[in-house]
Amino acid sequence: MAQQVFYEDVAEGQEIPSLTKHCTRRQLVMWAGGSGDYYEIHYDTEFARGNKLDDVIVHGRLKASFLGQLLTDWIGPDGTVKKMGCRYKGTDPVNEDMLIRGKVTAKKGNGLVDLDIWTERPDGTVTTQGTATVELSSRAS
Amino acid sequence: MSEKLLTLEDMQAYVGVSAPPHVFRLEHEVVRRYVDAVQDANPLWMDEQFAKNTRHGGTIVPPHIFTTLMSITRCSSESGVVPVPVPNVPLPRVNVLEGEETWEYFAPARIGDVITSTCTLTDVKVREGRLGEMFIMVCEGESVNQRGELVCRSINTIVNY
Repeated sequence: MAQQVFYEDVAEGQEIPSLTKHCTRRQLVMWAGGSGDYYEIHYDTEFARGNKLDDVIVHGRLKASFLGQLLTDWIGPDGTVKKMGCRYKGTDPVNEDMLIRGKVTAKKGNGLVDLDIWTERPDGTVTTQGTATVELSSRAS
Repeated sequence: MSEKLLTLEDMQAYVGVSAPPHVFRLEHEVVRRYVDAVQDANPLWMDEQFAKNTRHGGTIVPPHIFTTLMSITRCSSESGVVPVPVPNVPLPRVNVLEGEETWEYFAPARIGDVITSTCTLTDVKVREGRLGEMFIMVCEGESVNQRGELVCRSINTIVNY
């Protein structure tokens, strides 16, 4: 876990520390149990192939959770996530590295920071595209 | 006998319909299984010793757990393989694609909180796309804790074709 980040230290255009995830089938099963999403396309290879996929794919909301973790890892215990949103543009297969990235797009005052956040496959394809607003504490407080 | 396909007009009659409220108890094991599935080891979620020295005075529930609420609400219905955000609204077509979602966070949630969530169909549109006639359905949800405090507001868009 990184040191507490403060509003004053943040610059528009900067990229925040990224995360690398690698979803095994076991992780997708854990997610199914942890989230209540038992859709077979995420753990049943035959079912996935019946839907023209090579193998099972990562649940959209697991990716959304990775984006959430990207933010909470960065803002530290003094920060607050105000809003997060994303669009599921593409699918991500099981057993592949996934890069979770974010970039500051605006500092709006009162500690509020807007970001673009996204997930990427190893070849750079963006599979989830999103934005977020966080509130950072000030060094002065 | 052929069934008449639901039209945009049919679907617009459902705007304003809400799913029955869903109760989500944020027990310790629920949060533990969630953070383990995400592999999110932030000590703020599960380490009381760490968390009591922060401004929160104790552990809080990761806000991104609310990304799962829709799944749990939806899967609690008997609507088959692909569940829907508002189970008492029919799906006009067969296939469902997740569109866009947003979550707005208010009061932090704590282990032990009892969250009551409502979800309402707020808009239906039709668009012609590469998949043919596509129904764009927007559902908005609100989650409050046992003290009636707003915890999360979500907007979920699904594409049905």
